Formats: sequence, C-alpha cells, structure tokens
Amino acid sequence: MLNIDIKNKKYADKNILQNIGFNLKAGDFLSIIGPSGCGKTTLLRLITSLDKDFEGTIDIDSNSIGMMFQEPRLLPWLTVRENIAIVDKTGDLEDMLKLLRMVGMENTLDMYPKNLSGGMARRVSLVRAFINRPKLILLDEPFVSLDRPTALSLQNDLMLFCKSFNPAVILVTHDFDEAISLSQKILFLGGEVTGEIMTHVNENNSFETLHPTYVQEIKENILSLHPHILEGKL
Amino acid sequence: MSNTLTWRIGSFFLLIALWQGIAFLADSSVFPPPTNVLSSLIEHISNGELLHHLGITLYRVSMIFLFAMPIGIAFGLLMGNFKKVDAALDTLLVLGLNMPALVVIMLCYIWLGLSDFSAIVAVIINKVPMVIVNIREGVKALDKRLIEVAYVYKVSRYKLLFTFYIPQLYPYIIASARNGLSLIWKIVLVVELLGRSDGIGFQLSMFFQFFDITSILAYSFSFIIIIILIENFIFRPIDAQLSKWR
Repeated sequence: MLNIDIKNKKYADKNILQNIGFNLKAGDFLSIIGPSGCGKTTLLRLITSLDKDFEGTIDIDSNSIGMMFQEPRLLPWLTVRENIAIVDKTGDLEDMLKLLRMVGMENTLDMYPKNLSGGMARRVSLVRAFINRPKLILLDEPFVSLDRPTALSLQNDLMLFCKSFNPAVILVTHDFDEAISLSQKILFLGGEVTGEIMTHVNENNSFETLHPTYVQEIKENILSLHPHILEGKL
Repeated sequence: MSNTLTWRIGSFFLLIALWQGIAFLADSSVFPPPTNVLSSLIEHISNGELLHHLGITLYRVSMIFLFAMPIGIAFGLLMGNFKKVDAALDTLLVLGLNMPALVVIMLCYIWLGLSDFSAIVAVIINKVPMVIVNIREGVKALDKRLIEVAYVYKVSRYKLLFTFYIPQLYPYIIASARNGLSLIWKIVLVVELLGRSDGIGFQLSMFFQFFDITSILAYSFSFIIIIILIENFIFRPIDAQLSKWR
C-alpha cells in the first residue's frame, strides 16, 4: 500500500529526515510523534509530493490521498457541499450526504465555512478526506487547538470512517495519549530513536479504544525505554 | 442603505447648487452654469451627434477593457507564480509602467498607422502593466495553504485557476477593473484627440478650438454618466454576488 524509504531529506543544509523506512497496508494506523521541528510535517509533505526534493523512494499504491491539515483549510467562498465536491471525483451527492450523515453534518450542505464551529469545519474536512475513498489518509495534527470533548468526538468520527473504509492512516501528533489510543504503530522522530517503529497491541486491527490503565502501562514502558522523551515535550 | 442613498443624492445636489452659485457670481461664458450644460447636453443628444461619438468611444473603451484585463491577469498570474518569468519580464514591466502614455500613442500611430487598431493597441499597452502589477501582488498575498489543498487532492488545472486562484484574487481583479475603466477612457480621449476623426476626444478638441466650454462639459458629463451607470449596474451587482460568502 505505502512503501517509504527515505535516505535523506535536507532543509537549508540541515538533515531533517534520515533513514526512515516503513511499510503500511490497508487498515494500518500509524502515529508519528516527536518534538517540534523533527520533520513530522515534512514527512507528510514528501508523501503528498508537496515537496519532491529528497533522496529515497516513496511508493503509494493509491490514486488518491485524503488529508486533514492542522486547520480545516476549507475554501471560505464555497459552501460545505462545494468544498467537498471540488475534490470529489465521482460527483455523487448521495454519497456525500451519506458521509455527512455519519458525522451528523447532513444539514450543513449549503452553509459557508464562516458559519461553522471549529469542530464542524474539521468534520467537513474529514468528509472531504474520505470522499474519494482513498487507500491512504494523512492527518497532520487534526485535533490540535480543539477542546477536549470536541477532539474526542472528532476522533470517534475518524475511527468510524476508518472502520468503515479501511484505509492506511498516518497521524502526526504531539499528543502521546492520542497516539497510543488511536494507533497500532508509533514512529518516533527526532533524537536517538529516530526511525523506530513501536508496534503496540491491536494487532488484530481492532480500533477499540484501549483501557486507560493499559494506556498508562504502555506509556510508562515507552518512557522507561526512552527516558528523554518527556511527556509534554512531544 | 436608504441612508447612504440620501447622502449620495444630497452631496450631488449640493455640488450642483455650489456650481450654479459660482457660475452666477462669475457671470462668464467660460464658466457656464449647470443649467446651460444640461440644455447643451439635451441638444447634442437630440441631434444624434453626441450618441454617435459616445458609441464610438464606448466601443473603443470596451475593446481595450476586454483585451487588457485578461492579458494583464494572465501575465500577473505567471509573474506571481514563476520566479523565472517574473525575472525575465520585470524590466519590461517597469518600462511599460513608466513609459508616458503620450509616447506610446505617438509610436503606435507612427508604426501602425492612423487607425482604430493602433488607437486600441496604444491604450492596451498603457493599461496592461498596471493590471499585471496588481495581480502579481495579489498572487504573492495568496493563502498558500489553500493552494496546497488543491495539490494534495490533485484537482484539475481548470479548477485550480477558477476555484482556488481567481476567488482569492478577486479583490485585486475588481480594483484593477474599476481603476482600469477610469484610466482607459481618459487615455482613449487623448488617443482620439491626437489621431481620430470621431469619438468624444475628437469632438472635445473641436469644441476647444471654439472655446465652447458648455459643449465640452456636456460631452464630459455624458461619459461620466455612463461610467456611473457601469459602476452601479455592472460592478456593484457583480461585487455583491461574489462577496456574499464574506
């Protein structure tokens, strides 16, 4: 589905990413965590070809990619319907309505982004990411700057879509708990552990949220293995 | 809304009253009162002469507008997006911006002949650089994050241009169109005065030779009325339609 083998990515003569290699198949959910400036967003830019200047190869077995950015990035002059339709390759309004209904947004079709709350705008961005049923979904800190209940509810919507359409997902996040509770694999970027993929639990592709005590246990294990990764600095 | 309309109409009539007052005090044939100008306007309209010349000037203005805007927008987009194109054309642009309109008009008449074609080309050459500068600045101010959405989702070039670029550039385009129209018709009058035998510019030069200030003002007002109509019935409705998302 996705094969990544990045030898080197420089930015202003500084090595940002070195020797990053991993594969993802349909249904995989990988979180990438690491401190600011470690190259998390750069990695997503390489995958989307927004940045093509690197040594290595990226093979994607998919015609389209769905992406959620740090901001909803909806075009303010288009309605919700037009914002999704602009990337929709089928033009099937029923299908768009189906996805909007899944996240409780079916009544917003003709609303402009300025009339949507932060959470609503991100749900539109979520529907836009899935409208072409891409085999690969990229999420660049999509829950940042949302209040906790909204972020959790949006995560539920995301997991509902993932369960229904089974794409490979890469989530870039600063939030340790978010990474552990949502993903099956975690890739650390930055510092000595760069490139390491930590596979934890959920090997049966289950997207069930982990029991909180279990999360704590995994977190403590990770922190004991990599004491320099301090919570809150990620 | 009705309040702003009152102000518009009120200030207009105040200006007319002021003009009438000064003309009354001056009592000179070179400073005619608005009533004389109005009756001269009616006379020129009723004998058909004004409408004929107005039509010709309007035709020239619209041809220039229809060519200058798309050319300017296209080059503005290219220069704003591609550094190499910008570097290659920048000197030419500065030259175009600073070349006196009069020189361009003279050169066009000499090189291309005293024809409508050269008149129109001369004004297009005068106008295009200004549109380019506006649009190029607009492209630099674009929200690149929205453009990235287009690239990630691989939208067609057509959609990229008309859904992502043009709406963001719209304030720059409408500003270019508005000041473009006012500039174009001013230069068209000079072009007509210098080398055409019809159009408002030509008529003005004739009236000037006879010191017929009343007719000069009547002709000028006829065109100002047209510009006001264009502003109110074309630009404002388009503006309102395209800005409804704001």
